[in-house]
This record gives sequence, C-alpha cells and structure tokens, in this order.
Amino acid sequence: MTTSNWVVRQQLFPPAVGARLPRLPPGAGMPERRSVVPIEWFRRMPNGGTVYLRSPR
Amino acid sequence: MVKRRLHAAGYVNTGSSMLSSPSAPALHARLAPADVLVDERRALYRLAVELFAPGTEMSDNLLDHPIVRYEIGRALAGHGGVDPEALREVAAMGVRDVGIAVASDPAAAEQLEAPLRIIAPPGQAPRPLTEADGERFETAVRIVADGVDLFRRLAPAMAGDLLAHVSMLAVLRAETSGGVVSASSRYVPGIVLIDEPVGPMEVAEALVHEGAHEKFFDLAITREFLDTHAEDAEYFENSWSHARWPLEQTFAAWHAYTCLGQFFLLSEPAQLGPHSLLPKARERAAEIGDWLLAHEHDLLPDARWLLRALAGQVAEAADGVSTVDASLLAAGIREDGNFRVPPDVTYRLAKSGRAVVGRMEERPEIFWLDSDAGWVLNECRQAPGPFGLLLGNATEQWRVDLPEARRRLAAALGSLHVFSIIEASE
Repeated sequence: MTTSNWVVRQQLFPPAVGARLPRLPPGAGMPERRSVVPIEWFRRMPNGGTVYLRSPR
Repeated sequence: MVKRRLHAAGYVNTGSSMLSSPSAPALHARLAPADVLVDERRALYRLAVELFAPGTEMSDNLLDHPIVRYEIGRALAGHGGVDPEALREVAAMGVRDVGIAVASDPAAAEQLEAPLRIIAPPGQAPRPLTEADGERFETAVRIVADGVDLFRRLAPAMAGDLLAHVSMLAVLRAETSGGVVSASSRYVPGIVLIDEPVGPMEVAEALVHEGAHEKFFDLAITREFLDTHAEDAEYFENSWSHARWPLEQTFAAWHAYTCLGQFFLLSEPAQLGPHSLLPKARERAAEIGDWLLAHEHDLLPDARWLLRALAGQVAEAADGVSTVDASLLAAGIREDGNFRVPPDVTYRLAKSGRAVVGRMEERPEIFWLDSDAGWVLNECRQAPGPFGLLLGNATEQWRVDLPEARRRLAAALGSLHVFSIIEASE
C-alpha cells in the first residue's frame, strides 16, 4: 500500500513518551533559563550532513 | 575500520566521564517529552510560515515533511521566501508506512533532490530505491519494517524517543550510495537516508544514530543549546580518524555515540552488521564527552545540562549569568510605563504553553519565551498594558505575593523590551 503523502503519516508515538523521570546526580537540577531565548540556529544552514561512510576497501 | 566525515589528531581518551550514563530517553524527557518537543517544533515552523505568508494554515503532517522543513529553513536562513502552494506540491510524494514512512514514489529522486545532493560523497550521486524497482524495493521495505520492529523491541523507550523526530526514511540503491551507511542533515531535518540494508539490525542502528541527530536538531531549535558563538569555538579532533569537528558537530556526534552506546547494551552482538559502530560507541562518547566537559562554557544551559546529566556529573548549582541579566533588565522597567506589542510581532503558542515569537527584520528573528514572558505578551497584545494593571493581573494569575509578582513581571518585561518584542511608553 502506498499512502498519499502530501501529508506525511501521523506521529504514532504516545503522549509523553519516554517521560519516566530518572534519578539525577546530586545537585543536577534543571538549567536556569532566560525569559526570552533568541533562536539563531537558522542563521547559518551549512550545506552538509552527518554522513557515516564505510571506509575505503 | 569506519570513518566519519569532517574529521582530524591526537586526543587522549580518559574515558572517565561516561561510565554510568543515565538513560538518554529519560533525560531527554526531563528537557521535554518527545511529543512536547515535536509540538513546539511545529509551532515554530507554523510561525515561520506566518511570517512569510500571513494567513496560511498548514497541517501538522505537512509541517513535519522534511522537504517542507528544508524550504522553510532556507527562507529563515535568508535564502528566498515561502510559497505555501509550492510547499504542498513538494510534499506530495508517495511513501510506504512500515512503522516509519519510507519514500516509495517513483519520482522520489527528484522530490528528494536536496537531501540526496547534500549528503552525497564527493563525485557520487545517490539514488533512492522506489516502487519502480519492484521486488528489490519490496525486499528493502521488509527489512526496514523488521528493523523498526527490532528497535522498538530491544529499546522501546529509546525508539519512541528518537523515532518521534524521524518523519521519513529513504533507502539508497547500493550501487549509488558511494559508501554512505547512513546520513542525515540539519538542512533537511526529519529524513534519514540509509544504504540498501542487508539485515534489520543495520536499520535499527541507523535509526538510533540518525534519530539521535534528528532529536538534537529539534532540541537546538526549541531549547538553549548553541548560539552563533559556537561557530567561533575551538574545534574537536578525534583520536580515531583525526577528523576536526566544529562544536555543533562535536555535540551532535557525542549525543549520537551516547545513544548508540546505550543501545549497544540492549542489543545482541551476534546481530551486528559489518559496519556497526556499537562496540566502539561508549569509548568514543567518553572521549568526545570529556572534551565537551572541558569546553562546556561554549554551550548554552540546556546543552550543558544534558551533557552533565548524561555524563552522570553534578551540574553547576546555578547559571548566575542569566540571573544577573534578568535583574539588570528588570531595572530598566518603569512602573509608570505602558507596554504594547508592536504590530510586526507575531507569535504562536505551543500546547506546552511556551510561546514562540517572530518578527521580520532584514531576516526573520525568532524567540522562545518562558511562561511568564508569554503571559505578559498575551496581556499586552490587544491593548497597551499599564504596569499597575499587569501587576495586579500577574499576582492573581501566578498566585504569588506582590513583591514576587513585581520581580517576575519586571524581569519578563525587561527581557521582552530588550529584544523589542514589546514597546514601552509613559
């Protein structure tokens, strides 16, 4: 079966997946965050990827 | 022996930092459960479309499409605009759903031109397997389905955590893959490309490896991980191939190797493929992690927290910089002021309650707000908000006493003001 895909399928993961909370190391509280966080990720879009290559034989 | 791109010499592995890592999925969930993270990512892309094409509504599924994310990312990077109709057209491709959407459209080579070009080894032109390849494609799809099942069976929490960030998988024809085992790109987030698989364990490992990268991409656009300072940071040089990696790639590699190392503990060695990184993953994660810990000042708070938490190390008690910044910013807020949102500021609320704000300058500017700042923005959106009125409402909304409400309100207003997300008038 081929699904028509101008929509990709719905995400099938359940709500809050992986939400089991671990015991953190002593003192490892959550990070303090700023009220306003600029997102700069898109300012540079490197034309490359994380590519795992076989080594040449 | 295997190698990765962007490599380079001489790091001594102490291996001291990653001996007993807490579960990666559980620590990811402390930052944000996968469904929360994906919803916030969609809010950001929805906002981006609104900035370029006001009034356009797009479905969650459309916003998850890797090529749609590629086109929006290009626009956010200052390369062109967003054409909603073109987005719908580029996303109109056939996939086979086998627990993950596998590109199957006979025209996939054209539709996936961008990721295929971006991940291609020099001189190579990878081509995807599609339904036009008949039984060869059907065989590959069966192996992918078995690989997804295997991943979910061996590591259900990790599978749910990472696959939530993988919207599509493309299988490369072996004779065209040019040595690619698996690949992903932050330029086309959400798609994983793999070589034509021989067995399901290869697929499962590729999904851990590239799924970890995809998870990182989504964390990087919704949380405090890296800023542009990362481009000027020192490079890491690994000991096994002497590759030199910029900070962003170093963090991504550490994160992937950490996930692979944890997956290795849940897998069966007899199943491993010939190019498996699993046996080496913990050692490499330790080497990279030790270097990152020595350079953690170049990371933003959430990245630093994840690094330390996965390393099983005590985090710093507090990030004093942001505390000082908040009080300094608050000091500039006048209590006889009125506050309003400029007309060119637009925002979207994620289901988590976090707000993502956009403003079009020369290039779009995007900000995530904490819940206090998001509430203030909403209060000032319809009409200018006098400080006194905001303070009274905040005391009620936040259920805190007046001094605490004043402190939090001034901090939120100060932060919003310094980024020109609100304007103040007397």
